Amino acid sequence: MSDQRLTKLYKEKQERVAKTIRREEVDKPPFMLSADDYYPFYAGVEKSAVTSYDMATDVVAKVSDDLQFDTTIFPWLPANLFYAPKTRILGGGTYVVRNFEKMQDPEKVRIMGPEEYPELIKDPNTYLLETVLPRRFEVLQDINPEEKYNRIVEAVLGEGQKFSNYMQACEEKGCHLTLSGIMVNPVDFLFDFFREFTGIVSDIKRCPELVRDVGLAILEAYKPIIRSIKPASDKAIFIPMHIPAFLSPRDFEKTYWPSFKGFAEYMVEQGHNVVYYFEKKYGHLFDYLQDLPKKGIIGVFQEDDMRLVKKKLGSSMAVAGGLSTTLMQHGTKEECIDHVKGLIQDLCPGGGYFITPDTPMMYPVDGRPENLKAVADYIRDCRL
Amino acid sequence: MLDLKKITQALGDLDEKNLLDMLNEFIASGPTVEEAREVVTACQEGMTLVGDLYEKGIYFVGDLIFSGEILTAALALIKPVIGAVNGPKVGTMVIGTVHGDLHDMGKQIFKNMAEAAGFEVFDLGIDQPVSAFIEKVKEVNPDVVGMSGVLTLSLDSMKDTVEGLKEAGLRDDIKIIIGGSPVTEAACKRIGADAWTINAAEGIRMIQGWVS
Repeated sequence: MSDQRLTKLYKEKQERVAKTIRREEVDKPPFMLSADDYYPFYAGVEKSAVTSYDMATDVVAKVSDDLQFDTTIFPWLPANLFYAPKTRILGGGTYVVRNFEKMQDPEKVRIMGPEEYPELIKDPNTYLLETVLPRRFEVLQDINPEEKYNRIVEAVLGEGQKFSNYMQACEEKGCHLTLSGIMVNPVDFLFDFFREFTGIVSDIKRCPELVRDVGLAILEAYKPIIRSIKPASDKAIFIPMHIPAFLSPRDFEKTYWPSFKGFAEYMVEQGHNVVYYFEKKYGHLFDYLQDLPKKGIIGVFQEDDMRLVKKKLGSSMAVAGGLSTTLMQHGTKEECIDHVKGLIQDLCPGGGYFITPDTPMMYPVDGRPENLKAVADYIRDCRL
Repeated sequence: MLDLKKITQALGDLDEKNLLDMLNEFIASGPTVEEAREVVTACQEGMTLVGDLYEKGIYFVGDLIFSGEILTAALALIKPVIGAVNGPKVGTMVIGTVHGDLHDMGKQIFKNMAEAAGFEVFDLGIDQPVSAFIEKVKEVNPDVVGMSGVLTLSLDSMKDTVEGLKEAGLRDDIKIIIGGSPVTEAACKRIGADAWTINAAEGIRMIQGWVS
């Protein structure tokens, strides 16, 4: 594809994405891919053969050229490039990289107890850096503060910069990325990295006020990070939603909601869009989600009925999801196209809907390439 | 003697403090082994209440997990009185998260509820190869094998495991239940399991039906 044609297509994608986030109608159905290790599988490349971000860029560009999706939340995250260096620099962590795949080891997550919450609330940055992280990463113990901070900066910012360069290279090759940053909501931060499932659930039951207050303290610590990210109308900060799917509305309201809502409001106030990835089912929390800011929010839904999602939340946020990966794996091309026609007919009118796989495409079993190609071609050629 | 209905209700209400206060008072009164066993049964009935409330959509997965925590704490208090908390065993189960998947939570919920229902459960852990299932089945000769997985990839691992059990000549002697978010009726057929569930309380009823 010529550079001129590539630039024109990219600008069209940018505009389509920005308008869909604003819940305006667009010329064709916007297709937002959500994929990870599926990229090399689709491109016919062995993950082990990809040893640099330049090579990974070529993989992403090949898939983007072939499928012509409007945007993808993030590009392929090659585990050996994205996670392994951090683990090496810090001498371990909660993620393990094996056979070029990353996995979080749940037994390594719980690293602090609720008795430490009052100290964490007083000064989250200092308490995490000085007390909690050295427990997880032995290399941070018994070294002078300068060396300690250098290690963390190298692992987080140094590797982060390499990833940012990779994202920019993908965009220069015509692959529009939705992502402007990755964060997790404050209470999920506690859950994902420090308390694990049983720990956080027990805290929510035994000391809900403390969990709420930790969330609010972490929110304050997040604000400078948010101010350092440049907003753009076709980009969004990506936030995977983890624990709320498992909480009753009552527990959610008492503990998770205050910092979640405050964080959403702050990001939007700073000019950002936010893309929430609602893992599993969220129907029991729709009433709360209606109270999020009425602009700048995209909700990607996994297991909820997208027609109900659009009906309940379509006037509050742009919504995404609905493309059945099970059908793409087990159905025929015709069945997949009929399925997409139904999504377009029911969900595109009025704007504010991205066609997106109902689960992030990670493995070969998440959809036969010929079916994904048929779906992408149909969406590319469809006009509204 | 302790009011057993209050014990059952406190666990059903997830009222940890009240339950543990009652149990501490009970232990301090010097109960007999038989009385302590009745308290264990009352706790197990409380777990059934929790399962019912989950099925009605009143409780959520977090509540199930916390009920397991409360039960563990309660049984730890009673154990010194009776030596072991195991009452009559209704069946034996081997459970594990299949290879390639490190998710623990669903398996843990099912294990807690199966133990509360009177099963002896052998938990293999997470990311378990086919050989681990085969070896444990040979060793303990269970009634039921439970396989858990959250990743779509784990469906293939479940299929490998069922085929491995078949090749080892063990499949016909056991019932197999699979669970986890990617599991469906169609997946169950492809995998060759006997039952599937995404709801632990429903799954417990299924395996109870197999051993009754």
